[in-house]
Amino acid sequence: MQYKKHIFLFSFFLICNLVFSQNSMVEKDSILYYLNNATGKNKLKELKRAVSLAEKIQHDSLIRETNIKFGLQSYFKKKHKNVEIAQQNLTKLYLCSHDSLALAKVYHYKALFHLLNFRSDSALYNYVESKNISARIKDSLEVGRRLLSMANIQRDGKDYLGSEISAIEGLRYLEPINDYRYTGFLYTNLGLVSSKAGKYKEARSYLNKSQEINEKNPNRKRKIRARLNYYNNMGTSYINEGNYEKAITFLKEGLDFDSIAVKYRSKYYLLVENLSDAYILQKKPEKAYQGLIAVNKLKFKNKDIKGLSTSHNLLSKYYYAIHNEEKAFRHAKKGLKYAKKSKHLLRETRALKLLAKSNMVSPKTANDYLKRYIFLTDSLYKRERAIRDQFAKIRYETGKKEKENTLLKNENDEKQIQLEQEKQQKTISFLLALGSLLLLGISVLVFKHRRKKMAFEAQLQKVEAREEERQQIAKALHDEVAGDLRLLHQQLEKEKQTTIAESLNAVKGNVRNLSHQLSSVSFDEVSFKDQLINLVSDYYSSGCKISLSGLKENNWSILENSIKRTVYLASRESVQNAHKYAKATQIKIWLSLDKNNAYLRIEDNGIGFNLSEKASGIGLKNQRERVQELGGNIEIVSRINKGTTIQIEIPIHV
Amino acid sequence: MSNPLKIVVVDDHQLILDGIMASLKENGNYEVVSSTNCDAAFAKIKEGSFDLLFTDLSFDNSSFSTKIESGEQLIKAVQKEKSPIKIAVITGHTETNRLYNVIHNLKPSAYLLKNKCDATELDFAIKKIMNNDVYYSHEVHQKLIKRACVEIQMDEIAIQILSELPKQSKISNLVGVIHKADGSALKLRSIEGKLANLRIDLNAVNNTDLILKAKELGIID
Repeated sequence: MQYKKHIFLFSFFLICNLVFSQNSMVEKDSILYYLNNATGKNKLKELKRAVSLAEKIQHDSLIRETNIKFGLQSYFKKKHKNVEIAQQNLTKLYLCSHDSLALAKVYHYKALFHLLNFRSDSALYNYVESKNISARIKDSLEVGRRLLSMANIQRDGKDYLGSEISAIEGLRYLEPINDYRYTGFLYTNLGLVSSKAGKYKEARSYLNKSQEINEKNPNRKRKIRARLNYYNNMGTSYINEGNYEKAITFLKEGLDFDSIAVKYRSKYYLLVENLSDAYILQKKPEKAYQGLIAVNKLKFKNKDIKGLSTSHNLLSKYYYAIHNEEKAFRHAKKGLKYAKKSKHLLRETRALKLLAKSNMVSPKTANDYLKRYIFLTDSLYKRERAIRDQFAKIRYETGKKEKENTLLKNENDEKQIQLEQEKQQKTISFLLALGSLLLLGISVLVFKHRRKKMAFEAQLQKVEAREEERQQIAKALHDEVAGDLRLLHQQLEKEKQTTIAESLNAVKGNVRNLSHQLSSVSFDEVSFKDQLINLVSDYYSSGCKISLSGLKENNWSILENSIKRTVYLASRESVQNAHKYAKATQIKIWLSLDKNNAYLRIEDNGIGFNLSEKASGIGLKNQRERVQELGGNIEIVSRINKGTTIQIEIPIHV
Repeated sequence: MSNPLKIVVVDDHQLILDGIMASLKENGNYEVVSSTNCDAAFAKIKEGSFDLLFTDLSFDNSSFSTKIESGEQLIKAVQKEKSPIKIAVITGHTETNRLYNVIHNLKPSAYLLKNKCDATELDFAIKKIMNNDVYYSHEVHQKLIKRACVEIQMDEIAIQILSELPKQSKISNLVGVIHKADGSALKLRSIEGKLANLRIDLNAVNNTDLILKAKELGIID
């Protein structure tokens, strides 16, 4: 029954476990599903769901992945708040797990957040941080991507030198790992930067290189986009150079792409507008018209405000070219309106420039446009310079910081080594000190122990000496005094003086007794154990029962003779007293031994005695003396009619 | 009995010596030599081939020149000579320790107490001794039994056996009843061995006698 119950419980737990592990499996699966398949309108929503699911199952790497994807998508969709959320989640993750990957992403998304808020300098700064972290964990792809972003920001900020440096540094990371996509972008950037700097030939060789790499990209859509970019960039570089013919061939080649207007609309706009620009600049404006109108209509349909401002500006330019002042003015006005609406200063200046040369307004109004134009270009220029300065500063400071860092690192390493050495020395000296302290302690202990032992031995010797003295007295009493008394007694008997002889005999008996009391015992012939049994046997009778315990259970042979003697004599004294004077009918003797002490306890049920009375005698005094000589304790408790208890404790060694 | 027994008697009291000599002569054909000190006795024993030595234990008359001061020492010295002489103790010492010590270590053929001893006992003892037997005076016996009794009382198993035996019809029934200190049961052979030792110690002829003696001695109630 019990057994069955156990099985039931066990299987219950098993099922529960399965269900729970399945639950988390299901969650994992759904997160992965969201991560890989989130598309279209609900993409962001699904990614957000994946983020919260990952949070729920507390799976670190999933939390990281979901937040990275969510953050990036939010950036593309320009959701400032979401980018910040992703960045905060990643910060939390980093604080928990110290995952450098997460930290690099934290800075990356901080950068993206600043970009969305048009703070390119702060963005750049965070990109630098992110890049450095990725570089530290040797994540080359990430380093390359951050450098690409930096290069782009710097180029937009007209920090061409910085942009070039970033791009070249990016290539150093990306080329060894055979990345096509971002390597291509970096080359494109280099091309654009060179083009802006007027180095057209160099620019085009970069662009060709970029195109060469792009063609290796296995992703078809990306390949096409890169190709369209390439035609456009080549076109603009030729336009900038003044080679409109060449520009037109490249731009037209781009526009020849199948259904480009539907599939790659932004590229289509760029190509068409640059082509139109080329025609206008080539003084063949009539060729530009169709494309411009088509793009304008498309942009209007799609409410592309930013695009519309460009489009109208170009149309205005076109009308100026065909000397239709009125239409030119109207389009320029529209261009200005859309530029203002989209808060695009550069396009606004372009529109203003177009308006300023219009004959459709009074010279004063034209002058106002011009003033506004100058003011805006000026402030744009100032802003760009400020940004450029800022960028240069960041670049300089990161460079300096890196140098300082290496310097500091070296210094730190040296210091660390020094500290380590100091620490080692400290440990060694500490150990030495401890060792010597220990040694000192041990020697003190040994010394103390030896002194104690010596004292103990000296004490024992003293005890032995006293014992010898006692023996001599006992012997003298027995041999000489008793002998003399015996002779006297014999003489008196011969002289028939019986009464005196008898009393002399009594004196002789007393002397013998005294001698006997003083006389020692030796355990050489008969062991301590046997002697104690013998002692008890002498006094044992049915009228006086004596029990003896603890004798066989302990090894008495290890004890010093003086200790055994004291225990024996104390026992003898007590048993004699209990038997002779106390009239006890029961005597109990307990003996015991531990590693420090020997113990004796004797209890009788006799009449007891008054301890303060002198009559308690020489025997007790003798006992006490012997015990104290050995450094032991003796305790005697006696009450009239209640019996006597004697307890002795003697230390057995030191 | 063609050759009379050659006996040495040693005692520090001349009166006692005379008494013993008289008792011996009363009994029969003995060739008796006496001495009041051990050294002289030992010299005589070494000289002539004696059959028996009677000695006291303590000698009050020893001086600085005395070599052998006690009966025990004399017995040891004689035993060391490896002569075939039989040794008997005749003394006043009744302390268990002294008699146990002497009997246990020196194994004399007899231990007699002179204050209780008469010619008859002496003669009986000599006959026993010469028959390679051992003789102890009654009181000595009593002392030895008492000593055994004290020892038995310290022996937990012996007490168990003695108290359980009267309750059982057979010895084999004791198996499982008697336990050692560690709790394990004592086997039949061990119980029987113990009983045999107890019978010797208490001088009992059989188990019933043993129980009676144990009760008499107050070992069991």
